[in-house]
Amino acid sequence: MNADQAARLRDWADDYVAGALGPAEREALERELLASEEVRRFFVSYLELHAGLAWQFRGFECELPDLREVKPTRSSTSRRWRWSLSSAAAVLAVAAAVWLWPRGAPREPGADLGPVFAVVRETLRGRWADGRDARVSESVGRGSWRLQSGLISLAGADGVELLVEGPAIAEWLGAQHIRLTSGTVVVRMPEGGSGFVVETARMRVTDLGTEFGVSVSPSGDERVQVYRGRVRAEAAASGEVQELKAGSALRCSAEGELAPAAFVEDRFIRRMPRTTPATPGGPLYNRSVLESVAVIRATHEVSVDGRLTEWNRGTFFKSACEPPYATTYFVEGGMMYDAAHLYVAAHVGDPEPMRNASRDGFHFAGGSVIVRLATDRRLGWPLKGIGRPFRPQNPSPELLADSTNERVTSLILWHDATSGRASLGLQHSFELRPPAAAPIGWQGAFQKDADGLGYTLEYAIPWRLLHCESDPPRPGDVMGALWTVHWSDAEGRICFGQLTDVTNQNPPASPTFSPANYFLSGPHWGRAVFQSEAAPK
Amino acid sequence: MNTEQSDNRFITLLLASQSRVYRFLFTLVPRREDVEDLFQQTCLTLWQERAKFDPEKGLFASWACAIAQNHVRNFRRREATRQALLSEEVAELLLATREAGGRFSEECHQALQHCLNQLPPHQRTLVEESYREGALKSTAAAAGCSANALYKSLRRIRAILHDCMLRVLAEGSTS
Repeated sequence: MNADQAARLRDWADDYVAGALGPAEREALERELLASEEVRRFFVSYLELHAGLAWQFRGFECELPDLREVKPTRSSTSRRWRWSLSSAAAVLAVAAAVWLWPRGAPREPGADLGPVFAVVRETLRGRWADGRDARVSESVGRGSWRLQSGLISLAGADGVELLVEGPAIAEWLGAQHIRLTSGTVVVRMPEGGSGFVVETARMRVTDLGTEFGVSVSPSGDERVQVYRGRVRAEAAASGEVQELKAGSALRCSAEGELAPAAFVEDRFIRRMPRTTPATPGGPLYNRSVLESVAVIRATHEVSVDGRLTEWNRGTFFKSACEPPYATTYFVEGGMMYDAAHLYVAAHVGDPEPMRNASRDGFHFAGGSVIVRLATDRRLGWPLKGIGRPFRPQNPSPELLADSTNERVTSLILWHDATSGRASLGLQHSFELRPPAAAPIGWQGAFQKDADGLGYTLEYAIPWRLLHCESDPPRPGDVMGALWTVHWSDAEGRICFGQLTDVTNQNPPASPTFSPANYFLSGPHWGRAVFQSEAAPK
Repeated sequence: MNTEQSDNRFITLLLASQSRVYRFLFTLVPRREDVEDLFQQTCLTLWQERAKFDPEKGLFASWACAIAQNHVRNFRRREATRQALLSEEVAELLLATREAGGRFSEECHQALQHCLNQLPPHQRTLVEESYREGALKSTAAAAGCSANALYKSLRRIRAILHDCMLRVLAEGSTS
């Protein structure tokens, strides 16, 4: 076939696909197609090109129909079939809805009841934010979905596999397109496949035939790491494009700039672990009933050794996961203060204690206690600040000021299994901004329970690290506070569940928040009440 | 296998095969809007007829494409007066070419993925946006050029992709 004939056939094929092929051209095209297998192969391969592109880049409006809705009706204004639930089709619709809808992943209130994009293939203690266990074969459709804990594998269109690690918030935007708001996901394309897109707040990552991971930490740190093949990363703000090869990684800064990052092989979980957890599985979560925690004035020097000899445990609060896990997964927590320090102590029931081997930005997931505390008394209680993902697009100046107040601090306390030491992570404001430098001047200690089923932690943290050394909390102050405990698998990597307590027991009715996201909603935080008297031991 | 398991299995099979069904339809029906309609009708029929699928008798994708072909036949009857359709004889020949050796279509698809990955980012973005938007005018406006200029660029890029596909098909490898 010569170049002229090739160009002519492509022109005809383009017109054919556009519905613009005239009668004379159609007859000429048919003559050539009837005459030669070579021409037919050429023409079919060009149609395959059109078809492949049309499939790969299909938008919102033309997805797999929702199979619960069965009767097509023609719109008078469009040739598109519209799917509506008619009485004539009610029998089938109900039959389908029984298994498709109620068992699907939880969606945001008001989310469109859309098509199915993926099914859960495997789950390791996967649990949705509404408290249900993720179930093998359940469908995941359009709309935001939240995996609170565990690990799930999703099988999507054309053989794509996603491994999603909780906690994660994501949304299917198309058959080959998800938006990841937070959490980590590993995408694995089948041999020969490509084009899957993971969109984050600041990046758009397109796979070019590969296996890769994308993470968005609670503080908004975004990373992509390539295991096989290549990906293309595009910064949303600047449009800067970088192509990454296997064995490389990059991060996107808060300013939206792409920068190389260290490739860390085990930053992402790439395979569903095949081992069965030694401990009984089940959902780990609690129903918060505590609104306040007493912060006791320390009258003696506190020796930070994890033995809590200076503490009066009678002042501790106790919170536990729902039965039957209440006796295994619980926390007894206490707080003290003096002019220079905040002290935190906790005894945590944990069958896999002090195993944390998590990764940068996700240290909480491997087993941790997080204490969140406001120290600016002007903020009052309840707090008003809201994390960026849940803030209105144009927040009032007051809301923005409260949300970005640097005297709202999250203290992430965990035992690093690799170094064998207590660790402290700090994040400020509802933006969860990390400090400019690693915190110094704090003390922390862990002690494992004698029976190996829990641990005790003790920390002394200078007020300086909470940005209030010149005006620390005083007796009588009431500040916003929130406690969260995370548990993990035996490897200290996969979050198996969490407990959230010290919460506002009369939170605003709207917007609706899952307890797993209370940390981004000041109005849901409980209170820390700074006591004037030291409690007798 | 109970009904629930069977239905779950159906959804999994459908997700895995839908691209093949869509591309199959595209070979037989020219306009994208018609393909979309037929694709949705096919999915509905597959769901309604799911109990009839017997994995012992063949692949799900083959069964799904056979149902899609029935819809195309009905479509051709309805649209017989439309000049845009190729004759039934030619359509059958194209189908035979597509199915020759059982792998031609899949090889084309894999070759396309390979070639798409070779495109410079700006060309890929142009293709992506044009097909996603489905409307050249809006894409052209966003790109700051005329629809005609964009159409010409797209034709050039498609020709590049197609040449690459043919090369890969001839070499028999995407590695």
